[in-house]
Amino acid sequence: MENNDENEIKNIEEEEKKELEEEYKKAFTGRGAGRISGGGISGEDIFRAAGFLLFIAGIILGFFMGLMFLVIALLGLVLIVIAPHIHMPETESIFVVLLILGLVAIGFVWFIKIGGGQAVLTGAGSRMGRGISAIFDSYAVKNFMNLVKNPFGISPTGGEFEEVQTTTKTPPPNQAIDVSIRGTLDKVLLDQPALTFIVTVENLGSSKISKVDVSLELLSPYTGCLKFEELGQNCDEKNGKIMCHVYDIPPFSSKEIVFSAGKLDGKCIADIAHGGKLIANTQIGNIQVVAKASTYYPTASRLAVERIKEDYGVLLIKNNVLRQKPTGAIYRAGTAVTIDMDIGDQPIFDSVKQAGLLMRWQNVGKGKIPSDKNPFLFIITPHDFGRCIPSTYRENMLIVRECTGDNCDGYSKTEVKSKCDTLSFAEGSSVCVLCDSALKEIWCSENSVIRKTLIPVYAPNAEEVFDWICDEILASNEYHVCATNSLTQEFNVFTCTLNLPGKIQTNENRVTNYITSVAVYPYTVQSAPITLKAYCVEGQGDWCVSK
Amino acid sequence: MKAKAIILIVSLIFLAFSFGCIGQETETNETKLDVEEGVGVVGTLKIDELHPGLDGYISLTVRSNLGGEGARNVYISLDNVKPFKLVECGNEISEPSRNRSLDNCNGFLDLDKNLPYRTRGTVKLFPGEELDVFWRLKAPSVNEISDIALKHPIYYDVEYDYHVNFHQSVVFMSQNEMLRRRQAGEEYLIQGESASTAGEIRFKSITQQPILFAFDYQPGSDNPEKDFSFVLSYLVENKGHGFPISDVIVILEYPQDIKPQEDVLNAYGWKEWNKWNGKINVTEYQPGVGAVTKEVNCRTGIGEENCKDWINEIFKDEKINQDRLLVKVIKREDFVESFTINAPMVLKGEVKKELRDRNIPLKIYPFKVYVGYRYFIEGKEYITVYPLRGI
Repeated sequence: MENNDENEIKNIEEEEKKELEEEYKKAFTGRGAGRISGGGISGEDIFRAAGFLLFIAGIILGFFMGLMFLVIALLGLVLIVIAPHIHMPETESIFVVLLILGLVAIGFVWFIKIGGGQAVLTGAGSRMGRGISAIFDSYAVKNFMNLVKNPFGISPTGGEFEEVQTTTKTPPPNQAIDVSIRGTLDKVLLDQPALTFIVTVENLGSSKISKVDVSLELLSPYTGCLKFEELGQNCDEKNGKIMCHVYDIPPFSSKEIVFSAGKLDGKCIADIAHGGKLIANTQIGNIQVVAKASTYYPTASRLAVERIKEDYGVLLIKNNVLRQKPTGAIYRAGTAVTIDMDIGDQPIFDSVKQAGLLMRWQNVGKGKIPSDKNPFLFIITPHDFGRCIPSTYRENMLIVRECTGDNCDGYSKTEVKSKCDTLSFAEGSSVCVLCDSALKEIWCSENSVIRKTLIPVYAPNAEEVFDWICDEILASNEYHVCATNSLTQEFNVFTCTLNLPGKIQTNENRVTNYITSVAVYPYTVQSAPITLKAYCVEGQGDWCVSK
Repeated sequence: MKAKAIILIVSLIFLAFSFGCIGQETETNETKLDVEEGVGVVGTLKIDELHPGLDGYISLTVRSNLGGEGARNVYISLDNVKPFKLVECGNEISEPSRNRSLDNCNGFLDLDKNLPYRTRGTVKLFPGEELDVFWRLKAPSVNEISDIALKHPIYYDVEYDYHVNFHQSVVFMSQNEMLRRRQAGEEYLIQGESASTAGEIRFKSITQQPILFAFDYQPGSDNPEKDFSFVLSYLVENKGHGFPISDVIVILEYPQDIKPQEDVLNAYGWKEWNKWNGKINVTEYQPGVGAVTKEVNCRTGIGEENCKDWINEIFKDEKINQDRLLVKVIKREDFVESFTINAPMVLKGEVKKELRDRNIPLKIYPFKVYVGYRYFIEGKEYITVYPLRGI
């Protein structure tokens, strides 16, 4: 009996042992391995979850920060795939997964620390963004876009703005100046001197501005109805506009003028647009104030003219080392007017004796070139290239130049001078082109009307440009300078013919000369308007009535 | 334990790959020579910005990857330097194209004396050798650049003389032997040994071999054999990034039993060394006259010279048998990337008779080809001069 009991106990123990062994076997082998008790988290689940986490993180990082992060996604995928084959209890699985995640995190932090992440993040944005820019930058797309923009093909190949030496290489805006206005009060009682305006004038270009005329005025129909009890220094009122002068603004900086104690003249507003009567306590519609800034601004552009010895150039072309192509000019940074130039395909063989220079004058800024003032354009060519006399005006213009014989383009020396004197040139009353000695004679003498009177009035900002041309360029005899006063439009295309110097005389195979155009142009910009909510109250005057 | 080890190893491998990829993104690009077999420039001018009126050093590293012979008379020049100037020997400022007046300065190369300031020269650059050349460049003043940033292209040229030679064995086989081999099932398309030349311009024999000839009479006959005409063909390829700036000289040294096919030799553009005056024919169109043929010298890349004198200079170290030489001058204008040249030759009748009578079915003749030229490569870099603004 005892033996039977002992045997029974033995059997029960063995059965329990077998059950335990089976449970362990189940836990460590085959499907469901790692699951010690049916309902808990298994090693497989932990690996799968970690893999999923890494996969998602890798995809997101890869999309936003670079394809290299897809490696993390790949690691995640591997974890998901190998998860069913992991036969590991829960605690050990957590340890291994944490180890992997920790190593990935360390790698990520290390990468950010060495600047890789910064390079990616501060670059051109996402890969997709860069890809799109690359498509738009491609030669074929650019050509197509140029064709759409300019189907007649009269414009030279687009030039480019000069590079600005900054750490960020941010291109400056295509502007000379900008003006903006801020008001401290927008709901105002008529005739109450409570208006304050702050006008900011910005020099967006790379030239120093010595003087800007700033005006503050109400837009039509209320022009002239803005009054100030007292105006600051350098300000006065003229034809209903408040005019101020701002002096000496360095490049890429700004100055502010504060207009205070201003009021809207109630009677003026009532008379101009409301039949002499305004209704009390009712907002008067659409009173807008703007600021305008006007100045003369200098600009310059330069075209590289590369010439090559013919036999050498032919060899290069034949051996597919060289391909001639058009080249645009480089414009000074931060200018509202660009003067593009094109002399055809370059490099030019030194056997070519003449070349047509195509110039395009264009306002690319948001301001205006006022039609009542005229820009001055100087075209500086190397002495060997001869003078650039714009042919567009050949029929109408008067050329003044040093004459050795009787014939000076059909005019006698005296006749020409009398028709194209300093005053008519400066005021644009006649279309003139002045070159070299004539320019020097009329323009550059110490007592010339232009230097003494007209420049300070018309273009004080550009005094150094005129000085540079007179004192260095014209004095050096290495260049020809022609000046014209007839570019009053926003867009203009004109040409001149240059005589190239022929065979390159030095032992160099290539020579680059530069054609420079310098302009001083008038420029006016207007701020966005501020709308004032004005009203009157009964008793302010007979122009303000109840109904 | 095993599973844990596998997981750890897999994880570490992936991490290593990750770091590898990340590392590739951020590393600085190594400068390397993009010329497989020639003289080339490693990297760039190593300067890209200057301020007006200031000066800075620019340098070029030139490496010879040539096989076989070294490059000789190597000149490295800057081109299109104006409006920059060059400063040398202390503070001597000079126009780049003016010749050096000083005898010697620190850092002068062997051939620098009397060369223009923009050019540096050395007698020989051995295979695998690197040479660093420097110039001190002075930027134009603010006024010279009209106060606009000047982005000026500066070209650098490297040119050198190079000569190379290769042997080839050409197999001649009688038609009877070819038929016998075919009937016996033996290999009959036997190629002689031939190699391609080293250097940027490769010459390679493309002559179909064996060259089959037929005997005019049976062995033992007293009748003499006629001369047998054949053509040696060579493929000429420019494998480099540059081009030959000189005419290209090809010399073919042939064996005693062979002679050139004189009646068509001229038509193929070959000259017999011993009967040649060292001039080449050039046909030019002259207005009102028409096509005019005249004799001119070879263009050596440096000047013009009697071709024979130039060839003697190029191949002065070679022992060439001047009695059995054919010369061809490929004018640099006629040189294209890839083309074939042919040399019309004759197997002498008496040799054929001897082969016939002595029952020699197969004969291998050695030829030697010499090639000489001056090669030129050009590179371009921009140097920007920024005016100082905001003052």
